[in-house]
Amino acid sequence: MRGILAIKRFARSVSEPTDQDLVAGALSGEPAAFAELATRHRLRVERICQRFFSDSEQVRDLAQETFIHAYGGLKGYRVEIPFGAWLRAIATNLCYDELRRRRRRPEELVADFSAPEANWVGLVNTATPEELVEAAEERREAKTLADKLLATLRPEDRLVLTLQNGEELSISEIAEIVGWSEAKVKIRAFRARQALRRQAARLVRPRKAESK
Amino acid sequence: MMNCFEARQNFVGFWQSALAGESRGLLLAHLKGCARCDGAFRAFALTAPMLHAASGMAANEAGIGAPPHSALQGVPEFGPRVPLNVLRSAPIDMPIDFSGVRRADAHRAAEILRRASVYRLPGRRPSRQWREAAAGLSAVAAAVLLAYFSVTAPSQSFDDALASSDSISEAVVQPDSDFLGQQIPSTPAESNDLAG
Repeated sequence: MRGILAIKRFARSVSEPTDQDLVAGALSGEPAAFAELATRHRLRVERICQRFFSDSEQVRDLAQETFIHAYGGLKGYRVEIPFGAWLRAIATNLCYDELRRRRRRPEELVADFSAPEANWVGLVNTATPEELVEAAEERREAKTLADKLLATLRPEDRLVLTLQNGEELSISEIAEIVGWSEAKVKIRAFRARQALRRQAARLVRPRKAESK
Repeated sequence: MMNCFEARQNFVGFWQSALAGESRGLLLAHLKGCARCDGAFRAFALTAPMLHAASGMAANEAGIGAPPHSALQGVPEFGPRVPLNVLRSAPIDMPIDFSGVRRADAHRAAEILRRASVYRLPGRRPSRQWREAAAGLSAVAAAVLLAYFSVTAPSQSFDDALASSDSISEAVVQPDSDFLGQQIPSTPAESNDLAG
């Protein structure tokens, strides 16, 4: 099975142009080359934007803007950087700008939930862990509620938390990306977690262990 | 037996259904027996749909159609990180501010994306300046309408109107007092005296 996959990957690498080839094509005025780049990286870019925003239209807009920015700055792209990493930096930057543009949601208003969101909170308190995982995939309100909770954080804190948890980057990697000191990143991450813990304490009812 | 630290390390794997059979069983057993970790998992579940969503969900949410998990295998990894500060301090042709992207380039890129059906949106959303200008105009229009209606709206309240209609009904009930500004002569009782 692994052998087949390796052969397939090899065949693909021979037949398919690399990102760098496509960038060169796009720079020489081939629209199809840039379209291919966008098709290749669309899902990843959308996934990054989705970690910051729950609104699907917003995610699409930001992903589209990422590609527009990339197209506009293609001449400045340096081939030694993987194209995907370059795109991710643009997408993260755009999401951060959008977070800063939005007004932060006050913490005390976090209990202002819609009926489906309140139901989801109820389920979080009562369902088994397995049921929760299944239900979260199906329920849109799980996402909107999570977005509401994260919207109470400062944009910088949310950026750090998202990069650390969502993109699974280390403190040093985040520090490198955002251009802050590692100490500052650690403080931001700590504050973000503390704030989320406070929110969770309001919503999650403590229960007694069944048996140890 | 799994300890609390190990259990919490496995939350993400469990949430993304990436936890193998034995570890999964151990985690579930631990959660059943440890109230603190159970609470921590439930708190984790509140933000996990945003922070730890599985890869395929982006396309689902965006309504583009979920890619099969295998489809992601061919997508190149993002590889090494590119520092944002590098991009910020990069040569001027690095696109960071939207204003830095030439309008013609932006339109061309949007057209390429649209034709390739990567994004089916008709084009770019109006810029932030346009949106702000539109919002400002709407606010002015609303203020003008409000001012207009506050001047021309009847000053009487509904109760006042009812009260004034009562006076009309009184006038109707007591025809001898006043009718359309004319005094109605009351018929004297003596006039009924035919004998006189």
